[in-house]
Amino acid sequence: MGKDRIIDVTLQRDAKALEDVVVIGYGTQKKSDLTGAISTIKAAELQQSKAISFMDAMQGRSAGVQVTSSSGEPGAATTVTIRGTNSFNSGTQPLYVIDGVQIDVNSAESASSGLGNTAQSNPMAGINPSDIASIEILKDASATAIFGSRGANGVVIVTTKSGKANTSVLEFNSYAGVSWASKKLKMLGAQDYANYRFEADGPIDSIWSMDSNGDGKLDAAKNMTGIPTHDWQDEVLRKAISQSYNLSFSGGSQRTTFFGSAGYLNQEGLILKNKFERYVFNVKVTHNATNRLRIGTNINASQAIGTGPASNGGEGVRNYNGLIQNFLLYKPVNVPDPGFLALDPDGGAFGSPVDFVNYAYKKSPLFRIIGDLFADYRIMNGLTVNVRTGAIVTYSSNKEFYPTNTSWGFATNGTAILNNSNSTNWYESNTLTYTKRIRQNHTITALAGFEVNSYISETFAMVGQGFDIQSINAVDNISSAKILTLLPTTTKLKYNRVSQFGRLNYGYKDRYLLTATLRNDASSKLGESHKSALFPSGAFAWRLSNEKFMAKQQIFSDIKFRASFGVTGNERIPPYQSLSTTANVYYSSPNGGATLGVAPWIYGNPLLTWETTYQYDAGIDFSLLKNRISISADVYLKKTKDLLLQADIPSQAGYMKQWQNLGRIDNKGVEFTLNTINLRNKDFTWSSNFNISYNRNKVIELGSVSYIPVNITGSAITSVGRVIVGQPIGTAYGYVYDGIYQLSDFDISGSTTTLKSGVPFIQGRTVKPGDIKYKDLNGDGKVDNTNDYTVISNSNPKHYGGIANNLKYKNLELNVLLQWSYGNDILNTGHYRYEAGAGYFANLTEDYWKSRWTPENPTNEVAALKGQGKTDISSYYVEDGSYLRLKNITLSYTLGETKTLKKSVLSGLRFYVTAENLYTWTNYTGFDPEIASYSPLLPGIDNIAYPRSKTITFGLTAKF
Amino acid sequence: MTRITYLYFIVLVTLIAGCKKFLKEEPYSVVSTENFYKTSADAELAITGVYDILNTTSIQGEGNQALWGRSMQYLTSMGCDEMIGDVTFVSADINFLTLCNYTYTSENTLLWYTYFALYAGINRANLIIEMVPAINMDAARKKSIIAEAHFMRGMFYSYLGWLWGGVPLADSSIVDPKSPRASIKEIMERAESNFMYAYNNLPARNTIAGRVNKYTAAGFLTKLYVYIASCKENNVGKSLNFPTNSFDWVDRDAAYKLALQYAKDVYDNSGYQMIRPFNYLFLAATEATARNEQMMVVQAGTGGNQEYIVFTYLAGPTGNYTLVAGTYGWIRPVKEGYQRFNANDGRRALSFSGQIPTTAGFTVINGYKYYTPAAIVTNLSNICINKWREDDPKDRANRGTPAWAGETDYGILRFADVVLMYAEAKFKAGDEPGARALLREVRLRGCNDNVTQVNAITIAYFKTDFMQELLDERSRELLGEGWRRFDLIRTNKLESVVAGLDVAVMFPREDVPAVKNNFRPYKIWYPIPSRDIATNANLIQNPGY
Repeated sequence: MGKDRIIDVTLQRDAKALEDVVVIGYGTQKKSDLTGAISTIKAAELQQSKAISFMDAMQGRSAGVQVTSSSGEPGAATTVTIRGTNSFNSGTQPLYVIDGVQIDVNSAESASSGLGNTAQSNPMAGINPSDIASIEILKDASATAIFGSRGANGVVIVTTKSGKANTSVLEFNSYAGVSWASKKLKMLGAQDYANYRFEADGPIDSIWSMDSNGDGKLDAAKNMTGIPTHDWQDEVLRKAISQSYNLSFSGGSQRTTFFGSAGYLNQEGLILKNKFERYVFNVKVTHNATNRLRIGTNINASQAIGTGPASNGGEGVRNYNGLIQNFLLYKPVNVPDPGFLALDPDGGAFGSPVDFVNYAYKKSPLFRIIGDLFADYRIMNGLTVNVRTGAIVTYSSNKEFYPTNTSWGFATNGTAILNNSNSTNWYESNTLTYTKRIRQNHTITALAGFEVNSYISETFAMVGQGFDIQSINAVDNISSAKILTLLPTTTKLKYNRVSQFGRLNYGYKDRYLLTATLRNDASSKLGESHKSALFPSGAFAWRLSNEKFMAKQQIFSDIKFRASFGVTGNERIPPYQSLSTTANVYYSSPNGGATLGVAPWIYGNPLLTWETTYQYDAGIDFSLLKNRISISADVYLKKTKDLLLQADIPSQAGYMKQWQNLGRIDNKGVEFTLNTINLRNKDFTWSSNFNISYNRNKVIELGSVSYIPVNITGSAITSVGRVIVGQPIGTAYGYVYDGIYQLSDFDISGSTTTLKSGVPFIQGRTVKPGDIKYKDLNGDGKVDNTNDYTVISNSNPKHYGGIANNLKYKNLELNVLLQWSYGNDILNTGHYRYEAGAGYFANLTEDYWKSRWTPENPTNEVAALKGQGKTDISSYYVEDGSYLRLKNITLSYTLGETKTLKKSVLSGLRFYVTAENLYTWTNYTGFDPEIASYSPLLPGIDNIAYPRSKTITFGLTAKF
Repeated sequence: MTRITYLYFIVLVTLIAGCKKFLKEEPYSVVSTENFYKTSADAELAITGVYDILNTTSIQGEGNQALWGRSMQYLTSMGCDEMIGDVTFVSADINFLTLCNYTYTSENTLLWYTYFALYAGINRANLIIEMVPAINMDAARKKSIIAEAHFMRGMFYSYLGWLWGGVPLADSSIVDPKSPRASIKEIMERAESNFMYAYNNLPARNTIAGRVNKYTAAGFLTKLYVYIASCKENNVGKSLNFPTNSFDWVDRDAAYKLALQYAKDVYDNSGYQMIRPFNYLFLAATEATARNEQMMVVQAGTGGNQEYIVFTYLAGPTGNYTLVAGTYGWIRPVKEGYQRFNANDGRRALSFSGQIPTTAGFTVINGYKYYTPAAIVTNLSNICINKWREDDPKDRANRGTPAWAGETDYGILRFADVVLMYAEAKFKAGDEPGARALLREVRLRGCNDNVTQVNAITIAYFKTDFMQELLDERSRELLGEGWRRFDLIRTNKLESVVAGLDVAVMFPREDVPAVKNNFRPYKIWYPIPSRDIATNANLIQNPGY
C-alpha cells in the first residue's frame, strides 16, 4: 500500500473517516488502531513558528522530542533527539521520511570548509515549512522497527500538502519580520581597556601607557579621552529583516489531484552581511489511471543559500577566534582605520570585526531535488502493490575569501577556499499490502517489502593563498593563487543498502490490536561477515473503552493501553571503515618540490557491525468528557548495545582511532501529554497542550575502554569532557571550583608568598593569591588532574517540554507557546576569553573587570586579572542552563465566511502578528542558554555562539 | 497490465539475487592497504611515506606538526638553559604554555601527538619491513629501502625512549593494543639493532640526496651508546626507583667503547666535513652545501601538503613575518645559553641576534634575500636565536610557500655533533688530548678558521673538568638543535642547571621563576599520554605524574 498519498484519497472518498489518520512507515493507520508511540504535529502548529526549518518549528510541541538549534545563525544546524541520545557517533539525529522518501541529516551535503568554524548548517532547511501538512514522530520500536537499521534514533515523517479533488485553490502567504539580538554583553570601554592593558602588561609601550609626571618614565595607563572608541556589538549586530513569499496552487478533478508551490525566503542574520535565502519549488500530482492503478509524482526542488562570514572560530591559532568571538574580544580603541589591519599595533592576528564582515566573503548554496515516482496497483480486492523509485540529488558549493585586510587573510596575503559537494541517493522500494476483514471481528493488514538504496557522494576542495590581485574576489579567480595550502582534492564514496521487511497488523473486535514487524537490512559499510542483521518488533494494544462493560460509563470516551518491544539499528558511520586504507602524503625533495608518498591512514575493523537498540515501551492513551481532556503517557526503556564509536586506541598500534562496536547506553524515560479544551462555546474556544518529558541517559558499559575523551576545537580548553560508565553522555570532566586563593592562604614575606601548610596546592603550578582554587578530592594535599578531576556538568535536562494555549474568539485567535528545559548544565568555555584567560589582548566584560579579585577586593567568586587556572577545565565555568522561553505568541484574524469576502475574489484571508523568543527566563550569563555544540558527546558547551534574536513578524495568508 | 505485473516481479527477484555484489565495498579515492605494497613504485611511495612523518602537519587527521616541524623542538629545547616560552600577542595554546614552564600533565595534547607520531612512524616502517621483501624490484634499491625503514624505526624508538623511557614495543604492523611498557633496556636494544641493520645494509650515500645512509646510522649508534653510557655513569633516574626506566643494565665501558668505534668510523670514513661558514648550515639558500655536514635532515619546502618547518612558532629573530620573515617569538633564548659564548667566538653572532625591524636591510646569498636583524641590546631584551633563517616572504610566496612557513631543512644530526661525541668517547677512553684536539676542530670552523680567535676562546672556555667543558661546547655548537636537554638529562645535570637559572627578566613575558618552581627531578621523563593509559589499562605512568 502507498504511504501518505493514500490518505488524501481516502479522506475525500470516505466521508465516515472523521477519525484521524496517522502516517506510519509504508502506510497509514487510524489513530485508534495504533499500537506504537507516535506524536503528530499539525500544520497549524508548525505555521505559527517563523523558523527557517520545520525542525525548529517542532520545538516544544511534542513529548519525547528534544529540539535544540545550535545557534542563532539563520540556517544553523538543529539537533533533534528523540528519547535521549543513544549513539556516540554523529548519527544521533532521527531518520526523516519526507513524503515517503527516507533522508538522513547529513551535514556533509552542504559544502563547508570548516576553516575556523565549527558551526554546521542545517541541510533540511531547504524544506519549506509552509508546504507541510503534518509531521508524525515515531518514537517507540514498534513504530520505528519497520525502518530497521535507520530507525534507532526515531523517525520523523513529514507529509506535505496535497491537492483536493474538485477544488481549485490559489493561496498566497507572505510575512515580513524584524529581529534584534536578545542580549548584549557589556564589555570594557576605551579607558577601562587601557587601564586593563596597563595593569596586565605593565609600562611596556606608549600605546597603553603614558608618562603622567614628566619624568620620562611610563608610569600610568594612557588617557584615552578624545580617542575614537568602538562598541563592536553595536557595530556588527543589526536589526535584521526577514521576508517570505509563498504561492501555491492546488486542486484537481475526480481522477487527478495536484499541488504546486513556489516560495522565497530571505532572512537576514543579526550579523552584518549574514543572510539566508531559500527558493523552493514543489509539485505533487496523483492520477487514477484506471480504477486499479494510481500513479503519481512528487518533485521538491530547493536552493538554500547562506551568505556572509559568521564564523565562530575553530582550530589553529589564526582561526581560533572567529568573528563571533572577535566582536566581543577585539579592543575598543586604538583601532586602525577600516581596511588598514597591517597598522594594528597588536599585529594582524586579530582585527576589527567590522572589517571582517565587510571584506571577507562567504557564500554556500545548497541545491537539493527530491524526485519521486510511484504507482499503486490493486491486484485484487485487498491486495495492493506499491512501487516507488526516485532520487535525492544535492549539489552544494562553498566559496570563501579572506582578503589581506582581514585577520584571517592578513598572514597569508589572502586565503580563498573552494569546496564542492554533490550526492546522489537513489532508491527503489516495493511493498505488497493485503487487507482483510474476516468474519467481522478479525482485521488483518499484512505488508511485505523490498528496498534497495545507494548513496554516492563526491567532493572537491582546494585552498589557495597569496593573492596579488585582490581587486576582484580571488575565490572567483583562484588560479592567481601563489600557494596551494590544500592541493585540489577529490573524494568519492559510495554505500549501498538492501532490505526486506514485513509487517502484520491484527485486530480483534477493535479491542485487541497486535502489530509485528520484521526487517532484514544489509549494508555495504559493515564488515564482510557482519553486513546484515534482523530487526524484529512486536506490540500489543488493548482498547479498554471498546469492551462491553465500558459501554455504559460516560466519563471515558477512550482508553487504550499499549505495550511494545523492538529492535532497531544504526550504521551512520562513514563508509570504508571496515577496510584498512592508505592516504597520499608528501615529503620534500632535495631540490624543491615535494615527492608523493603513501601511508597507512585508516585502521580497518573487519568485525564492524550494527549498533543495536532494544526498546521497551508501555503507554496509555485516554480521553475524558467527550474528548475534552485527552492524556497520553508513556514509559520506555532503550538499551543500545555495540555502539559504533571512532574509538581512541593506544598509540602503540600506530593509529589513534578506529571504528569499533563497544559499550552499552540505556535511556529510560517518561513522557506525558495533556490536551484539553478548557472552554468551548459558540464564539470562544480555549484549548491547551501541555507536554513534559523526562529522560535519563546512562552509559552502562564501555567495553575495554575506561572512558571516552571528549575534545573540542576552537578553544584553549580542548580536553573538556569524558564519557564514563555510570554517567550520562554529555558530561564535562575537570576540577571542582572551590573559590579563589586569598591572601590569608599564604605566608607573606616581602614579595614572596608561600602557601600555608594545609591549603591544597595545585600540582605543577606555583599558586598565587587570586588564582582559582579547586577541591582536593582525594585529600592528599595536592590538586592534580589525575586524582581530582571529576564529572562537573551534565548537558541533559532533567525535564523539558512545552505549554501551548490557543484562544479563539470568533475570527480572532491567539496562540501562545512556552517552552523550557530544566536542570541541564552548560560549560561556558567562552567565559575564559572575556576574563583575560586568552591572553591580554582580549577585551573583558565589565562584570569581570569590576568584580575581579584584587588584594583590595578579596572576592571568592572571580579570579584575579593574572589569576592562574583560567584555561583549566573546572566547574568555575559550569552554569545552570535551565530556561523557560516565551517561544511564540501569534495573534491572528481570519476573514473566512464573511459576506464581503465572498463577493470579492478572495475565499479566505488571514492576518497575523507573531513574536518569537520574546522573553527567556534564565540565569545563564552567555548570550543564550539554548546550546547544541557540534559534539553529541558534550552538547552543553558554549564557546560563544552566534547570538539569538527576538523577532516580530507580520504576515498574511490569502486564498483565492 | 497483468503482464506488466509479472514482469515487475521477475525483475524484482533478479534484483534481490544480485545483492551480494551490491554490498561489496569499493573504495574510490583511497587505496586499500591490501592492494598496496605490490610494485617497486609502491615501495618508493611507502618509504617516502615514512619520511613524511618527520614534518607532516597531521597524521590520520590528528595533531599539528607533532615532530620536527614544531613540537619536537619544544620538547627538546625548552625547560633547560636553552629556550623559554615568551607568549605575547597570540592567545596562547595552553598545551604550549605548560610545556614552557613544566606545568604540563599527561593531558597535554602536544605530548599526545608527538608520542603518537613516533609510533605512526614505526608502523609505516614496519609495513615496509614486512611487505617490501616480497616485491619484485631492483635488488639494491630494495635493500636500501628496507634498511632505511630500519633506520627510521630505530630513530623513532630512540626518541620514544629518550623522551618517555620504556614504552610498549611495536615490532610488527599489528601491535597488541594491550601490551604493557617494555623497559628502556628493550627500547634501546631495539633502536640499536635497527640502527645496526641500517648500518650494515645502507650505502655510503643514499641515491636520493637528503635521505639516510650508512653513516647516519653510525652517527645514531654513537648517540645511542653515548646516551646509555652516560645515563649509567650518572645514575640517571635512580632516585625515582622506577625499574622500567632504569639504566642498571648498561655496561658503561662497553657502550663508550662502541661509541668510540662508530664515531671513529664516521670521522675517518664518512666523507662528511664541517662546512664553512657556520651559518650555511641553517639556510635554504645553502642546503646543498649543508648536506656535506648534515647527516640527517628533515627536508622542508614548497609543494605537497604543507611540507614545512613552522619557523614562525620557533626561536628565530622576531619580526613581522609577512614583511621581513621574523617569527612570533614564541620561544626565546635564555641568558645562560648566550653567556656561555665568548665575544671572540664566531658562532655567537651567527647564533644570536636582536629582532628584525620592518625597515631592515638585507644580504643576498645564492639569490635568497635575508633580512638583517638588529644588534642585541645590552640588557638582552631583544635577544633571539639567529640560526635558522627564512628569506624574503614575497620570494617565498612566489615559490609557493606561505609567509609563516619555513623551507629550511632542519638538521637532526650533523658531523660536528659526531665529532663532539667522538671527543667524549675519546676522553672516556682516557685520551683527553685527542678529545681536546677534536674540540679545536669544531671551534676552528666556528671561527671560520681564525686561529687568533680560536686561541682566545680556547683559553676562555677552558675547564679542568673536561666533561663540563665538552657539555658547554656542545651547547655552543648545537644551540637549539634539540640536544641540550638530553645532554643535561644524561649527565644528571638538569636539576642543578634549572635551579641555577638567573631569574632577572630580559623580556616582559619571560617567566624563569615558573620554570624553576615547577621543575621536579621526575620531569626528566615526560608523562605517558593520558589517552593511552585510558585505552590500555596495562600501561603504567611515569613516577610523579
